[in-house]
Amino acid sequence: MKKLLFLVFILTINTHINAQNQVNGIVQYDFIINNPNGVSFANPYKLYFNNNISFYIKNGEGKRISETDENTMLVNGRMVEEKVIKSSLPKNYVYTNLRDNVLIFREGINQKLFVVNDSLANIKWKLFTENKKIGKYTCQKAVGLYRGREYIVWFTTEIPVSHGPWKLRGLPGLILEVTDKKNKYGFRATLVDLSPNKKIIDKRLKGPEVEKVSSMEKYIEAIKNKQKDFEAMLMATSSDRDLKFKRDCDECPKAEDLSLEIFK
Amino acid sequence: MKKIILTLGVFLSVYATYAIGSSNQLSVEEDSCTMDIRIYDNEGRLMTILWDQPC
Repeated sequence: MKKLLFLVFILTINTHINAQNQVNGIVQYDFIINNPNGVSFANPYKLYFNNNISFYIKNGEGKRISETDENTMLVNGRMVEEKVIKSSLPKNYVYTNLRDNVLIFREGINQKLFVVNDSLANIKWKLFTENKKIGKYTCQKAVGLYRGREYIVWFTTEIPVSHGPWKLRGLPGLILEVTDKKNKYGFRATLVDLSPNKKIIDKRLKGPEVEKVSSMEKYIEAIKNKQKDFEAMLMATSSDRDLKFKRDCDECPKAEDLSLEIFK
Repeated sequence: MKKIILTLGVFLSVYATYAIGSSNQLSVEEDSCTMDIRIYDNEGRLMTILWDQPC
């Protein structure tokens, strides 16, 4: 009888310790795009996570965050109009499961949807002693290279999970802020909730239902041809067959800057 | 008196013709207005710039 009581006591203690180590949370991020013409956009995303699994998904439309908000304006005495091409595709996401070594992402490129079984990268982070506060969290600086871009990130060990926005992960704490070295892209946590509704977390972390998987090769090809295919799509949908594309100007977008990942 | 009225009439007629001509010229200039169009994807990436597009 004494042995049985001891066993029950040990099991209770063990469950209690495990429950204390389990971290659940929802973090809202802004995915920032800084264009060469000085116009920036912020796209809201949410990261749902526990210790082993994270699910990063778009959570609304991108908003312009630059000073002017006009659709038509005069730039250097020349009339300029701005147009945003809307997408009817389902939301982009990245699902990461560290226990099963799985990374699945969904991304729309030029009105085509890609769902890809990617691999979990082992990003070699260089840690620095620099600290800064983001909200109430003390964050440490780290720098790492991932698929052609160098990222400066700020993570906090106060949230001891190795997740982060998009595919960036692998540090001893949650990544709250990211800037790419060229300052073309960035991620910024705007809200941290560490006591979320458990049902919502469980539902989001159960894994995506994938119907049709694309190959990584097809995705890489689409990334490489992103600008060319976009312009071809414009030509195909325009009544004007004589569209002229501006090239080699200061504000002109470069093909290699049109995606986070750079594939040679 | 008749001569003065005739001269005035001719002058006004010539002026009216000139004014209509100038107005047409202005319309032609307006038609030749062009602009650049910056096109962003749904996340706000500047994907391309079209130039010399009619206003």
